[in-house]
Amino acid sequence: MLETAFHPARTGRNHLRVYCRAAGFPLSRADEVLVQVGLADAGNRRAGGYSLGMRQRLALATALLGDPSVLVLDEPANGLDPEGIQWLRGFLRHMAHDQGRTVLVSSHLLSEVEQTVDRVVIVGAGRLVREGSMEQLRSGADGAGTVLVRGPDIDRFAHVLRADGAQVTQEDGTLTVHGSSPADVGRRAFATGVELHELRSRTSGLEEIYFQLTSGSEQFAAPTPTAQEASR
Amino acid sequence: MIRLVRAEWTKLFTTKVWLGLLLGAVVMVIGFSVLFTSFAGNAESGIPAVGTPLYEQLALATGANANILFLILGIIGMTQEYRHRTATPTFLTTPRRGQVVVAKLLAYALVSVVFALVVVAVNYVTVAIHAGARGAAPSLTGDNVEVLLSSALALVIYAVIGVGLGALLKNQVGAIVGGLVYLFVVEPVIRSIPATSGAYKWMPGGGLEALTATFEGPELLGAWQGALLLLGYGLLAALLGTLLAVRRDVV
Repeated sequence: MLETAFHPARTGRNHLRVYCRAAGFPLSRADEVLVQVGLADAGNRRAGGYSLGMRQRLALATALLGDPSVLVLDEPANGLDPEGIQWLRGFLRHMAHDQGRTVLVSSHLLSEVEQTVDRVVIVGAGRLVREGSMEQLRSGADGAGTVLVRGPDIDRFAHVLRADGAQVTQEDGTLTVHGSSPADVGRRAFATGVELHELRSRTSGLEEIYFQLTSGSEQFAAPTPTAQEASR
Repeated sequence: MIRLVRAEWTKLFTTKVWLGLLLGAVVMVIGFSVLFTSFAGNAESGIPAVGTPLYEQLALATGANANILFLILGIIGMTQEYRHRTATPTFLTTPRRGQVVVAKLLAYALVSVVFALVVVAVNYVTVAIHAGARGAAPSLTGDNVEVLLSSALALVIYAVIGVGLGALLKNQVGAIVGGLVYLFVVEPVIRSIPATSGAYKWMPGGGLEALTATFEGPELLGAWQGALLLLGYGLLAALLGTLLAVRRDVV
């Protein structure tokens, strides 16, 4: 999808019609997929004048012409503006959940992927590193079952938890409770009557999980730039 | 296959390349016809006088000069896929790439029939008006019709050669520049040097001259042999292109 493969002088609608003809679909399919990807108004404009986001939408429309049951997209969010990304997220979920299609997305934008996908396959240096749902990946990562707690009266709460036998460390006004869950810690705080300002599971983002899983096997390892270099 | 041919026509007629090339060919043939007729009978030009059969055959063959534009039409038709990277969706839609090349050969041959008939019709009308004003409009019978139709056939075959050349070279600019250099530099040199002019009749330009009227040229093949030779070159290029170039990876 990253490739913007169309003749710049041809309109988006005509571009799609070419492939309707070649594949034997009715020409009306071109208009249907233009509506689906939100390009209905731009269909009669030359594709050469499209923005990067519109080109991505046109490429997506081309992929949809054949009403595929499996959709394979390479970096579909590239070049989309924030609204476009949000639209794409909803569109792909609609394709997968409401219409029962399989949508495969390959991407380097891990935080973006995290919000969209059901299952993750991490590939590093050509090898399968980990495969599973986001929850499975999180539970297998470092920091699983760790709860972070903040509040004005954190010292007293630390004593309470330690008295319960929990493993607690304290640093800069933040309690780290190991081997527990936010529900258990929250219940204890409520019962004790301690005011809390923050209570969350220290779950890792996909990016963090990725680095934990692929550390040492980076394909293009480069020295981290120093502050001086970076400011140049 | 009909689907693929129609897809090629959709590609062709949804950009303006065809219009530019057809108008260019029409303007070119009007210009040549007028120029040729203006100097007909002029002792210095060596062009026979209006009204003679030789004049008429030469004047009605000027349409064949548009061959370069038909060659470019074919080249662009094939190489635009690579230039604009539409080769990716095209070959995804039709994974058997040979079929795409065959569809292009058919589509451009058929379109060129129509375009070539337009060109020779303009050729005839221009000559008829101009030569008519100078005394004798050529009749649309016998040898004259044959000359017009063989010009048209030559144009169609050159479009086929263009598709073949495009399939072989893939690079649009390279194929067009190469085609121009070959037609206007290499062949005239070979044609003019006595030692190599014997080979000229076997070359595309020699085939073209054999097919259309000849004007103080070297020894040539018969008209139908020339046509087959030309067509052979086009199909050979397409075959080699399919086997060598089109099968390569596209990104």
